[in-house]
Formats: sequence, C-alpha cells, structure tokens
Amino acid sequence: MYTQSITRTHRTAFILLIDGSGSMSERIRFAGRAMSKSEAVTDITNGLLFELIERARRNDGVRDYYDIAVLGYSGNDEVYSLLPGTQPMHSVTELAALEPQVRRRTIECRQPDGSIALREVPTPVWVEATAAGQTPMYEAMRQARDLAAAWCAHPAHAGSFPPTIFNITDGEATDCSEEELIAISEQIRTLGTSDGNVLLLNIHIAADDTQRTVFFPSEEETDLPNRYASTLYRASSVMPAIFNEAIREAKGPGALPPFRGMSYNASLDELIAMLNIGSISVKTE
Amino acid sequence: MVATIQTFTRALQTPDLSFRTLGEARPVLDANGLPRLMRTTRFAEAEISWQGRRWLLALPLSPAALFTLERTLQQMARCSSPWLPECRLLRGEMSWYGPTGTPRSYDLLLQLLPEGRSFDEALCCEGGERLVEELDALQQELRRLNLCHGNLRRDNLRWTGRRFVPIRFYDAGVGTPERDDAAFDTLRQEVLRAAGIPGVSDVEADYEAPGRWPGHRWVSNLFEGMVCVEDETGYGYVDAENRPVIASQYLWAGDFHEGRAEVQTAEGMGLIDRQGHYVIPPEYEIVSYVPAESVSHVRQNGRWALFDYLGRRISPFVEDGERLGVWAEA
Repeated sequence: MYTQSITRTHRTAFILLIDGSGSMSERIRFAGRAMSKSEAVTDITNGLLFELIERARRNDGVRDYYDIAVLGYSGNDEVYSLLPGTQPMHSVTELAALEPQVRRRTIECRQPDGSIALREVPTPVWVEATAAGQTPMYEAMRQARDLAAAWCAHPAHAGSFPPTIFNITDGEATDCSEEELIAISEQIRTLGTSDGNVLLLNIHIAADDTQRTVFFPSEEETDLPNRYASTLYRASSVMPAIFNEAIREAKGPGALPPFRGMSYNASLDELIAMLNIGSISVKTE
Repeated sequence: MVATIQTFTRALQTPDLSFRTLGEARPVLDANGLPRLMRTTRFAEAEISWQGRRWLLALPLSPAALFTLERTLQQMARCSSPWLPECRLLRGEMSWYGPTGTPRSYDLLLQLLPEGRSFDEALCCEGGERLVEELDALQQELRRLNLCHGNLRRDNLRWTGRRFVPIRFYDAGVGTPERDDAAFDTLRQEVLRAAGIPGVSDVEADYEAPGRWPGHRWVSNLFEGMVCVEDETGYGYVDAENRPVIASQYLWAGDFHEGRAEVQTAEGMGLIDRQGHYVIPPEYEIVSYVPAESVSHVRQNGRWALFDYLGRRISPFVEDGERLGVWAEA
C-alpha cells in the first residue's frame, strides 16, 4: 500500500481546503513582512503550486503527474474554487498553462552574521487571499469528499497513489458539531484506490508561537491541549510509512511512528513543512 | 531536509546571499523574470552564467541522487578527455534557513555547458557523415573511459565544432559503457535521416577558445595564480606566464583552491600545497577538498574520514551513509 510512484499513467491528486473566515484577517509576521494569516496561507499555497508545477516540468513540457484543486471556504456555507475555470480540479498541465500573474515581492534573507537583507523577487500568483465570515468546514469537507470520490472512481486512477487532502484552518467549524466533522472525515478516509485510502491532513495554524503546538503527533502524544485538538486528531489520517522518514526529520530523531496527519497551533513554517512532506515526499517519475 | 525547487529558485534569485562560491552567478530568466528551470527524474536544473561561461546548475531532488553519482564524478575528474565537460560537486553550496530557523545547506552539481551548438543546429550546418563519425568517436571515448552516460539523446549533446560533448551526466555510471549503445544507434539514425537536408553553412567553425597557455595537451584555467596542465609526462602546474611551477608528474590533478589541490598518482589520491609538497600523502581512494570548510573528505577501503587543512585526520573512518555530516546538516 502507498507504494505507487507518480507517473503520467498513475497520476495523483491534491486537494487544498483553505479557511477564508474573518479570523484569517488577523495580522501576523511572515517571511519578514506583516500580513494577514489569509495572505500568508495563500503565499504558501502559491509556493506549493509552483513546486508541483516545476516538479512536473520536463524538457518536453509539463507532464500530467497531478490533479489539483484549491477550495476556499468562508461566509455562510460558501465553498468556492480559488483557481480560475468552472471545474475545481485542474491537471498540473492546465495549471501551468494558466499563466499566473507575476508580482514583485520583497523577501527577507537572513545572512550568516544574523543580519537581514531584503530583496525584491518576482513571484507567480495563482490564488488570492480572502477573509470574511464564518468557517463552513463541514461543507468544504463534503465537497472535497465528492471530488476525491469522483477522482478515485475514474478507471484511469484505480491503481494510483490516492489523493491527499490538506485542510488549512485557524479555527473551528461553524456549520457542524465535532462528531459530524469526524463522521465526514471518516467518509473521506474510507475512499481510496487499490494503492491506499485517501489521506486527510488537518492543519490548524496559530497567530503566534506562544501556544503549545502539536505537529504530526505520534500515538504516544495523546496529551492534546484541548477537546478541539483531539477532534482534529481523530479526523486526520494515520500517515503511511513512506512519510515516516520525512516526518521524523521535521520532528526530530526521537519521534516514533506512526504519526497522525494533523497539527494544532502550528506555525506557518510548520504548515510549509506539512505541505511539503505530504506532497513531494511521494516518489515522482 | 531535502531542498525544494522553490528554495532553489529563491537561491537563484539571490545568489550572493545563498551560494558559497557561485555568488556572482546569474541565472537565465524567463519572460517573467523567474529563473528558467528544467527537471529530470532526480534533479532540477537551471542554466547560469558564471565567470564568463555558461553552466548547468543542478539541485538533487533527494540525497540518493548524488550518492549514486559521486563515484562517477570522481572518475570523470580523473579522466583527461576533451569529450568530458567540467563537472563539479559543490558541497554545501546552497544555504538557507529551514522552517524552524535552522541554517541549512545543500550540495549542488555544477556542469560546464560547452560553447557551440545544439544537436539540431549541428544537423543543419554539418555533413551527416562527419556527425556520424563524431558520434562514433564519442562512443569509443566513453568506452575507453569505461563510462556510461545513461541518457544520451539530442538534448544532452553539444556540438563544439570539433566533436560532440555530452552534457547532463545525471544518470551516468562507471562501467557498462555498452548501455549507451542503443542511444548511439538512435542518434546515428537521426543524423542519417536529416542528412538529406541541405546545410545552411559550409563554414566549419572553430569554437575552441584560443589557448593562453600553449604547448600542453590540455589546460585548465587560472586559479590562485596556477594553471593545471597536462603534458606528455602527466599533470602538473604552470604559473600565469606558463612557467613550470610543479612538474607534470601526476595521473590527474585538480585546480588550486585556498592553496590546496587534489592529485592522483599510481599509489592513490592525495592533497598538495602550492610548493607541491604532500599535505595528505597519495595513498587514498578519494581525496575531496572542500575549500569553504578547509577540510578534505578522504576515502579508504570504502570508508570516509575528515582531514583538516594541515592534513591531520580529525574524524574516524566511517561507513558511507554516515560520512561527512553533509546530509545530516541538510
């Protein structure tokens, strides 16, 4: 299980669910700049899209290794694709052909002596930040479940590495109870291909680093900070063994698998680590 | 932690802050001002200009990608062949800060992009027979060197005006040069198919740069006032005025960096200073000096140890997977 390499005939899918509720407008500092959490998460998402496109690029063009959906959720049960087009799921080839806007961004580079240098660099932008309203996470999960089910049901994907869903939020669902959230998560995690079940990673991000963080917890780390962290733990997939090395590297050598695909009060750097581990650790042709 | 392509792109955008030796490198950019990247199965690659020449700078997408190439690169470095472009493994070349603010470094592979034309351009300006002869010559040379390129195709060959030079040695290996036979057959067929097309130029261009240090079979470039040269008696060094400094006596020799150069003798590899005195005696399988760290990675009986600038061993010999600490840092 979870052994299928990603190739053009065995592509995989990534579905990102991004909380766009009002609390995501809270100001934080990321990469040397003050910005909203929403802006930071979209920055990171654009970085992931860039990584996936470049990993699929060969001298004959971008190859269809991945299908990608990016859904935002906010307002009153509003779930919407953050990528252009009428269909939420895009092949990486389509995504590369979208010709994203390229904006000049100031980035912070730390030098060996500790000083900071600022540089302006061009950065491609596929998705834009939004932050308003409530947190209809259940509805987002439901749509992700339907997308993943349709993808897994396609005969061409029968033997593929299963889809991975990243749910990025800073709060609690406002459209369901905790039990309903766990139930829809279980529905997602029972979907799959012959290579394994759909992976669901729940990433709860914090506004600052003063709170206790839970990051890819192992079974020994049952002392979760509160009830909601426990809910996210139960709603998340157990990470397959192929991710263990990368997770142990991120957590430290003492960490013992199996690990749960969740974080609570994660920093944005931990969010980046989770996205990278969940996406590029899988062997691509 | 494996570096991402995003990290590599950022480093190419800020070379002076991200690279140890390639701080003045400039990447080839696309219309949006982003470095133009290409990917193979195990590497991401960018074309850069550095020190007046064009290079391919490659990021391994996993540590294993470099481990498998390492022996081949050492073998290539020892070979003196105009068919092999300069390839350097730059230890800890790319630096950045990881998710928790921890400083990270990562090895990169630098390969010279020979001056000249692409394979397709060569088809237009050279006769088919000549190109087939040069493909034959390349095949014989790789057999002589006991090297297998592993991925020979149109995009991975440059025509210098005199010969085909292979590039992108990402899949290369020592031994089994016959693995390239099928690729050579395909390339010859492509040349013959195109041979009926009239040439656009009958002028044979000479793309070899005129030599500044004449009288040698092969010359490198000026490093720290010394030029590594190959003569009938072996490799040695001359100064900027082409006067002998260290007699040509080695089976192979590398350029001087921070006053040290790797040399190969019949007894093994060693490290010399600017007077030609051995700092590390020539009795090891591999000696790889890292100027940025002032240490040498030395292999004996398949096990690796670190030696300091003065040639003193500063770590025990350990198995390959534990070596260097480079990957542990990265």
